[in-house]
Amino acid sequence: MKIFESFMKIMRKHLTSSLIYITIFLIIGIAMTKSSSDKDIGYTARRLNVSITDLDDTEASRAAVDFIAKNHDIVEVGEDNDERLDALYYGNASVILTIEKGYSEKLEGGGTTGLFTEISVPGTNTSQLLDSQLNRYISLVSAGVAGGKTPAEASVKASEALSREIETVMFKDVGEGSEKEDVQYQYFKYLAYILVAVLMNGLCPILLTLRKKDIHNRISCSGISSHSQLMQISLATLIFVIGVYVLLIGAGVALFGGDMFTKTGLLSMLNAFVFIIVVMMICLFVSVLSPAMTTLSMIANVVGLGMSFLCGVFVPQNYLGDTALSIGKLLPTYWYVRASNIIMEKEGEVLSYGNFFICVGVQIAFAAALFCITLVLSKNRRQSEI
Amino acid sequence: MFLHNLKYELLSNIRMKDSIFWMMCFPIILGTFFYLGFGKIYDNEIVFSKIPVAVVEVTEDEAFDAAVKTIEAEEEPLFSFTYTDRAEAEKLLVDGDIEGIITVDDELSLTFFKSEIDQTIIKSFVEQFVSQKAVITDTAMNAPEKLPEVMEKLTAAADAIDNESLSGGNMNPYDSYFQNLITMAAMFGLTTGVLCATRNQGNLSAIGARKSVSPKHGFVTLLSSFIAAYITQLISVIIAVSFVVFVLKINLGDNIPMVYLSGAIGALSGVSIGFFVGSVGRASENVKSAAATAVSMFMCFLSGLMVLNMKAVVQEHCPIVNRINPAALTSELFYCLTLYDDYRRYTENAVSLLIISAVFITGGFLLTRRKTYENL
Repeated sequence: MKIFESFMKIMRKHLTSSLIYITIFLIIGIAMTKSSSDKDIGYTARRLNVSITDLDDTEASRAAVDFIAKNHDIVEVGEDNDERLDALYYGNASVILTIEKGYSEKLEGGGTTGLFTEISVPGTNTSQLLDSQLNRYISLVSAGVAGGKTPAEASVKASEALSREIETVMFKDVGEGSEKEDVQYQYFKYLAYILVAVLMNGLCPILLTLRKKDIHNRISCSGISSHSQLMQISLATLIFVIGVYVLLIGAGVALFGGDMFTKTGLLSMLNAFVFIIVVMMICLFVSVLSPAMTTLSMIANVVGLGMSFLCGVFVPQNYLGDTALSIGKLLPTYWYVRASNIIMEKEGEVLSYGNFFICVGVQIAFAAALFCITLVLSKNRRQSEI
Repeated sequence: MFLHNLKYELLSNIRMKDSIFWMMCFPIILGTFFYLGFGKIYDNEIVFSKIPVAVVEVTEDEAFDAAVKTIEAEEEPLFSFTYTDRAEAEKLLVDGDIEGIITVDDELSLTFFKSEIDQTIIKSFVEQFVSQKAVITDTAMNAPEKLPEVMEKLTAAADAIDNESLSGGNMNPYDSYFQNLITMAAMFGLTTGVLCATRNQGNLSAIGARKSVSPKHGFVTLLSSFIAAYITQLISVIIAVSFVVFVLKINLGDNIPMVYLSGAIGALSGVSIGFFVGSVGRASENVKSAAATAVSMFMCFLSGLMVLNMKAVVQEHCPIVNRINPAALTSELFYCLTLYDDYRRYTENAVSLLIISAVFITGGFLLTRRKTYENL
């Protein structure tokens, strides 16, 4: 087991840098999980973030504020234009609305124009939603005023009328996931990036050191058969990979506790285990290509970020264009994310063991194909060296 | 002597073919992936377009039909309606050809496949129709003489909102991914800076040991090495900016020279921090490079490379981080050029980055000056 021992010796040398990568990417993973919990439980009307300034401050204008607050979330945005632009650009506020002075008087006189001033990103569906809601609200209020009510009374009536419940059903039932399950879903989804980043930055340097000319030549002239060499390297690599897997799943257990051992948690762990094997094969493949050590972080970024963006890790799969999805299907991350969606019933998927195991099977096929290519490439390189 | 050193440092950098290839190519490859991944999301998902809806009539409702006709006759109708049977409507819904089904029976009901903005707009339309019907019934029963006036108000299109805009620039938030891509190209200067520093230290690299025994002035050697590292990084950033602006045609504002300048300032801060990290302590080149890569990725994460609104989240919880994170400051430069007409905020960020660069360059030089080795 000399090669196995050498691997471990090199690993100990690289331990500090590997730990740096694991720590930083784990922090990134947890921060990403915490910052984006995507709730998807049955039909829920979309609520916008709306900032309101009420310059009129009358009963009617306060009723308008209440109507908006019933349908949307009210957020505070500063008066400063920079703050407002930042809030609109990053979606912290979808619309910044001002109820103009004289709102109530205008309504009383039968006027329906220039009641609000809206700052938003023009032409977007969010501004369209609030515009159409407000215009309908105002037409009901003005009808009420025309019917003999005061603006305040008409506003209350309009708000009541618009809050009638309309029977709404989802064509396909989506799972009644808890908020904790949603965070867990995000954690496993982001693992697709974290695993690639950690393994390519942590494992590849060890494999590349083993392939350094001097060490490689020393191994080649030893009595160890190429089969045994391969087995020892594979075993050591597997131990490293399982170590990383245990660490990341351990972090998941620390975050979600017993939820990791439910049906969905266990299936997610299985999915992640298969995916880490695929990533291990990618690392073996990259190491056979013998890139320079200094380029590893760039290769890791191209592979990790590229697959994540094309396969729906950072942006939901159903938002991606057809071209991206077509390319994504040729990459293992797509099948990992799709399996996660199936387990957690996200993005229109329903739990189907058949579909889940197809996704897992495709990942195993990727791993097997990468292993075969690596073997052939490795053999070719050996022969060309001779 | 300085130019001689600079020339050979540059040659030595360029001859690291693997590094140069990846440094030049990774913004192009990732930029292409980004573009394929979400180049069209803004147009498809955020910009408003007519919402396709199916109507399934179980019983006939003349008032609803009239409301549909009124909307269809509008200059810019919100919806396009398709009257069909239940089975066909469900097929259209599953195929994504329509956003929802309105079922007209004794009561109106809705069927959706997802809960997005379009579905909320459809629901809001049905709510308004139902409430209008209630108001008309109520008026007809309680004040029939006012019915014509009420009907007139209900059918007249209200125009209660005056729209204002804060910026004539590109408001597509997904383009911030491309701004962050250029930022990442600049922040990879950390690794370049680390290599520059470690390759000038006798105890960390063979080339450093060779340089230590040469009679040349240490400062000149180090300065030429630093400038060569910066020029190498700058080439990567120039390629990234050119690819994003001219090939992918992402709108980063009209002032293209300023876009290049922003990349150059970002790259300077990246190389400077790397140079400082490489100069601190006696850890090996591997460990320092690992720390540089991990730190640069973390900084890019905080500036929004992976999560779109991360910079805003940081701004809300810990705004000081955005003021000292070079990645956030660099991506902010592109943001300012894209959205602002004046350069006040741009200048603030650029000056912050230049101060950060100056501090780290000075720190790096102070840490490496006058180093002598008992043995190597």
